Amino acid sequence: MLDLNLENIRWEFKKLLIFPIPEIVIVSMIFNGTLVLPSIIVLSEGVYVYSFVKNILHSIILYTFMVQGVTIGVMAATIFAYEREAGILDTELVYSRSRTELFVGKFTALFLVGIIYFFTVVLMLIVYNLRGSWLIESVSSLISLCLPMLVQIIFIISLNIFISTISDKIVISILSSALTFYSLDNLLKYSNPQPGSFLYNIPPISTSAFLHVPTEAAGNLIVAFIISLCFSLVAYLYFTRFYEVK
Amino acid sequence: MKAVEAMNVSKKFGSIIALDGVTVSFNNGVYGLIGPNGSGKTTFIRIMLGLQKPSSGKILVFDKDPFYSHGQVCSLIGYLREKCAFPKWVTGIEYLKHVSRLKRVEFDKNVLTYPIVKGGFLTRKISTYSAGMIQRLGLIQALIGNPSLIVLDEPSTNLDPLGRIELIELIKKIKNGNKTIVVSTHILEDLEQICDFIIVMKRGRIIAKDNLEKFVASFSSDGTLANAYARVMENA
Repeated sequence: MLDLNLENIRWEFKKLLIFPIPEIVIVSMIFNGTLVLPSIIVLSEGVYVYSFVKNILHSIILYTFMVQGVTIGVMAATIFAYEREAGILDTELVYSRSRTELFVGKFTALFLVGIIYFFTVVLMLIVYNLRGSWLIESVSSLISLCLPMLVQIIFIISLNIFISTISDKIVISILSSALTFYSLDNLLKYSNPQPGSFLYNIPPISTSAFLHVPTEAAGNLIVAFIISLCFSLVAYLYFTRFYEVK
Repeated sequence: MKAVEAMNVSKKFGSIIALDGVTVSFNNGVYGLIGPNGSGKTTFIRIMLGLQKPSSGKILVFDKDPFYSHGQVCSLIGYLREKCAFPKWVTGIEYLKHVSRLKRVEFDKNVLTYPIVKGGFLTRKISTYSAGMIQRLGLIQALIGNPSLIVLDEPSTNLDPLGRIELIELIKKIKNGNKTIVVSTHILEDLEQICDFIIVMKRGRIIAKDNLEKFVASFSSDGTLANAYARVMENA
């Protein structure tokens, strides 16, 4: 039933690899504190420049997974909304055997990129926690990190594909993805019982997920997974049955 | 079996009527689709290719619904989009191979021998192409898999004079055989050289259709297609 065209997946994956993933990872490592940049840049004795950029950005949202979410959002917007806007998708829709094949190709390519990010983030957390106590307290916390992060990747991809499928402008698609992502994250923080910020702060929640409050955290994961499936299903149905080029 | 059969096809975008009860069929031959801007030519082409759904009416391409049964006809179609665009991070040849894989046909290297793509630019990344080169790539990708229905929306756009001559020669070369070629353009001099039939659209309707000789003989005072077209538009 699933129309899987490996060549199509390879083609979409190749497209996504034009994104500067290593650069994005390094920048996110700098701003989340894994790689340390000085807040004060000393030019000479008694003369220094205060690094506003680093301090402002560091205080806002630049955790690795937020960077990951935004990056995948841009990628989804590129292969759906931008291609539709530019007219690249027209030709692919005319020539492909089915719209399912195209959708699956794009979804899978995004998922593969998400997996690359996942391993990068795990590597970063290992490096990060070598200096702290989190990893030392519990070796299993690293393993317990995997499931929430995989769900998070699926959630981000589903949300972004949903938005970029129904939007035909790349700018609107990217802004909507970021806004929805931010809003959902904040809504979770105010839900009762308070689960913490599932999308915002992975290390504590993944630690608590399997070591302290398993039922509550597992529930959060299941809810996030079900929401992801709903987003994906609606995007799929829209793309295959109602999607028209403008 | 007709290549395309449209029966009372209409398309609305909100309150705007883009197509209003279009009934037409295409068999073998070259069909010139002409009309002023906004007359519904591109909308009709998009419905024909399954890129849009008609608001009412029915359209069949090789006896299949192009939107819902697209998989059964996709390998029979070649399409050049108006203002065509391609991914910029691959070479022209890589893109042509991608089209072959999408259509599940063998990549025929003979397409690279057509004069319109000579000059070796296909081995370069598309990001380095001029507008004319992109148009040439668009024309050649429409021929991948030797399709039975070729739809060219504004094929002369961005082509230099030599490119236009090569385009006309190309269409003359491929029109022999069981092919249906639909060309939408505003350059009537080109159509005079390649078309077998003319279809004139205005405000979403077909206002005239006939074979080229009869059309010109019926409406033109000086024996040219441009004059015939002007007379038809005046009277519509």
